[in-house]
Amino acid sequence: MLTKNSNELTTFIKAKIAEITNLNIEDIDEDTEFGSLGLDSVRGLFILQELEELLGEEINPLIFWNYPTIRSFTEYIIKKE
Amino acid sequence: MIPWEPYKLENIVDPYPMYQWLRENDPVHKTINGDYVITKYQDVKQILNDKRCDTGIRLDWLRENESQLSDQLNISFEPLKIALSAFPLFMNGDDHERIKKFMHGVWEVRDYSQLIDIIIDRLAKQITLSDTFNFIETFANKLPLHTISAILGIDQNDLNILMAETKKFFNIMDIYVSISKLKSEVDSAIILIAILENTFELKFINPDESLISAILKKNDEENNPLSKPEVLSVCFSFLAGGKETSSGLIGNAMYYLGKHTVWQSYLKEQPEKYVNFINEIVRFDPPAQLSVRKNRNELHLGNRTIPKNSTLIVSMASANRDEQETLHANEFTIDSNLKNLSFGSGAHYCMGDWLGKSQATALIKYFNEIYHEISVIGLPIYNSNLTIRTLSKLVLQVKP
Repeated sequence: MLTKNSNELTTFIKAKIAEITNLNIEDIDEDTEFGSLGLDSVRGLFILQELEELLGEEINPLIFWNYPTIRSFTEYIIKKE
Repeated sequence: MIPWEPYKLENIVDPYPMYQWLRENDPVHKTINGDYVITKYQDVKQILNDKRCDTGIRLDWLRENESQLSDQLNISFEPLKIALSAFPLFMNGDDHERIKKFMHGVWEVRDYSQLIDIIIDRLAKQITLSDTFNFIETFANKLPLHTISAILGIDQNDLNILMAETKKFFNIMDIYVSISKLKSEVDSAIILIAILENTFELKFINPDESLISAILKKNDEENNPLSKPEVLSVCFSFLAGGKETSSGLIGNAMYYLGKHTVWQSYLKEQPEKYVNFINEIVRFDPPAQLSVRKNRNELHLGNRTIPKNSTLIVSMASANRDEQETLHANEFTIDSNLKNLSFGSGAHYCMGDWLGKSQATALIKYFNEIYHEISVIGLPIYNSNLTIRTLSKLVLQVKP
């Protein structure tokens, strides 16, 4: 299970986005919106699913939209507790 | 500040400050993903009654993304599509009229008070109320499920499995979908379809007075009968309508009663007011909080122009407390009979409101008449479904 560590979460999300969008991981900017990275609502759900499994908790899909960059999303997940 | 964060724990526990802020500051709020959240009474009523605003967005979304989802998850969504194929809440226009007409042919306002009283007695005998108990598990979830399954004619041996699977399946009515919930909805649809098909076979051989027998008989007599998936789906909608919202109503009603001994005394002195009390719970803290529509045409609401094909999240729960519409709407008051949109408005108005209210009234009356005092122990825990507000835990202590 993933711990709620900012670096680990960021790396995991970047790796998943790279896997889904074929972007190079080093080209993925933490402040670029998910939509601009090529994630649509369905692809976003697959990343959320893996995050739910890794963190062992439910994540409402709207969070993905309300915190639409890797940095803001990661900060939200870590602060949530 | 993000005005629309309904999934936050504080908003799940009490969404009304969020709704009030939206009504006062941004009553047609555009969310970051382009949806519109509509919170004022007149706007909500307008959308619910506008025939150019369609329901069933979840089903459309599923159809649009089915191949991508199926490939990625390696599952078939056919069971879910069957379950929703004639779900009136997800239908529009002539298709909706056809199914609704069929359902009205078998479903009418009836006095089920005897059945409800029998079930309450049975549930009460199964538990020991000597100490504290979770009212939601023991009564609020069971009474509606036992009632609607008895009316439908489903084998009472299937109640435990029905309880578990309906809970998972009816997440389909939530506004935001997740993959994990979608998968569990498919699994539950498979099990529920099997239970219903088994019941169909039994009723076909031995028809009785049950609703399923009436559905099968009516469909046999139709010139343009429903397909088998549609008949299954009609039964799903009776289960949905009968279970989740009624559980929510009963849980909310008991929470308010348990928190306020003054109403316990008031209702003991004026038992004719139980109906008013439940009606006010329906208005003040309704189980059906939100509904979703898509506008076929450009729409003007307040000072906003909403482009066509937008997702509109309308909050009946917020509309009911709109003080610009109704004086004292934000106060709980048993005797005022204030107007509300809790059961919808227009073509999709709830068909079973009377059954939910009669169960809640009977159960609240039963507890308040039998026990000298009812107390809520600790804080209640709410489920995270944003559309249907239900409790998962409400610990009570009762004094004879």
